[in-house]
Amino acid sequence: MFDNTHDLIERCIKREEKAWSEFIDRFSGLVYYSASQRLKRDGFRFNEQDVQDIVQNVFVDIWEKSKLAEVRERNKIQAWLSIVGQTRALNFMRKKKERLLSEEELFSVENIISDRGAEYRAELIEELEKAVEEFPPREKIVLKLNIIHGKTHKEIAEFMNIPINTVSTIIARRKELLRKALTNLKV
Amino acid sequence: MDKRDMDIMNIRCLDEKTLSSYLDERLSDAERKKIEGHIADCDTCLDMLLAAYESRGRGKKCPAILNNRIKNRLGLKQAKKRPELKWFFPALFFFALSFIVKHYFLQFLAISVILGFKWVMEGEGAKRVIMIFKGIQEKEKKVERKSPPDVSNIAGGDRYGKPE
Repeated sequence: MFDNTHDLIERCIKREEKAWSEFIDRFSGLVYYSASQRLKRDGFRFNEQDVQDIVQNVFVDIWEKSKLAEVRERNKIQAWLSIVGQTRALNFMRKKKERLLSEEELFSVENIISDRGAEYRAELIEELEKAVEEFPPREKIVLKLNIIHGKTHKEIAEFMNIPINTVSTIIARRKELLRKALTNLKV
Repeated sequence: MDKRDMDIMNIRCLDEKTLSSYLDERLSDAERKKIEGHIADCDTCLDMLLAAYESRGRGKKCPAILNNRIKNRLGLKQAKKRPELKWFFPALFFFALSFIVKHYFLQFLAISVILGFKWVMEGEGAKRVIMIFKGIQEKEKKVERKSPPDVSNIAGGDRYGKPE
């Protein structure tokens, strides 16, 4: 019905019910995916109901606070929605953690976060932070994306909107230095 | 408070709008550099942006039940579902035909019964009945698996003891 996202968002801002219905149908999957990815990446243990509550909170919040009106790029709303989903997911888990702490269910809090994967990641990040401390921001991002997140040169170039040659040059130039710094890390 | 909590609480973190604008590709060089200056040192924001980038084109449609829950919460009117009649009318047609063309009465009646069966089974009511039936079956299976064999009446006492 609404082929154009810009048009859909404009109508949502005017609070047209059909547009909102379409907006929910079209983007709830993206919010669901982003929220669950965030919880997975941060090592939270969660269930289906948690994610469903987060998704509902996101849409209720956007509706009640008329947040769509604040969006500048109305035809490119995915990145914003994804980030909103992720931040709400983190807030939700933080509140859940606080609630459980207040109920003195410490054993349950331990069950929410699994730190095994995060431990190695934190160690790797720490070592890399030290090694790249003096590098310019752009180079830092390229190296982190390549080493910690395992992104290819092409993906990094696309993500940062820079030529792939720039990415390859940065990685090639800093590779030797980083190899020495990161060999101390026991895997 | 661990590093992640500290990052979340970091008041210097970019807001959702600014952060997402990095993926919009319409920023000036100065704006891009400003964001890059932050995400180079803030792993939370970098990872969040990366997850947003990776979510492009992902995320299948949510189940209708969740979407309806959200719509109800927002007080949106929902379009009433049309009853599934695609099997009903052919069933009715063949039923009528079986009386008109009496030579093939049984054949047409059989087709009509099959189509009628499809109509009933695809209805919401029938689906609910099937789900309840499956639920009961699974519950029974669990009960069967859990209940230990009753050995109290077996003569000869326990495994190591003598019969009373």
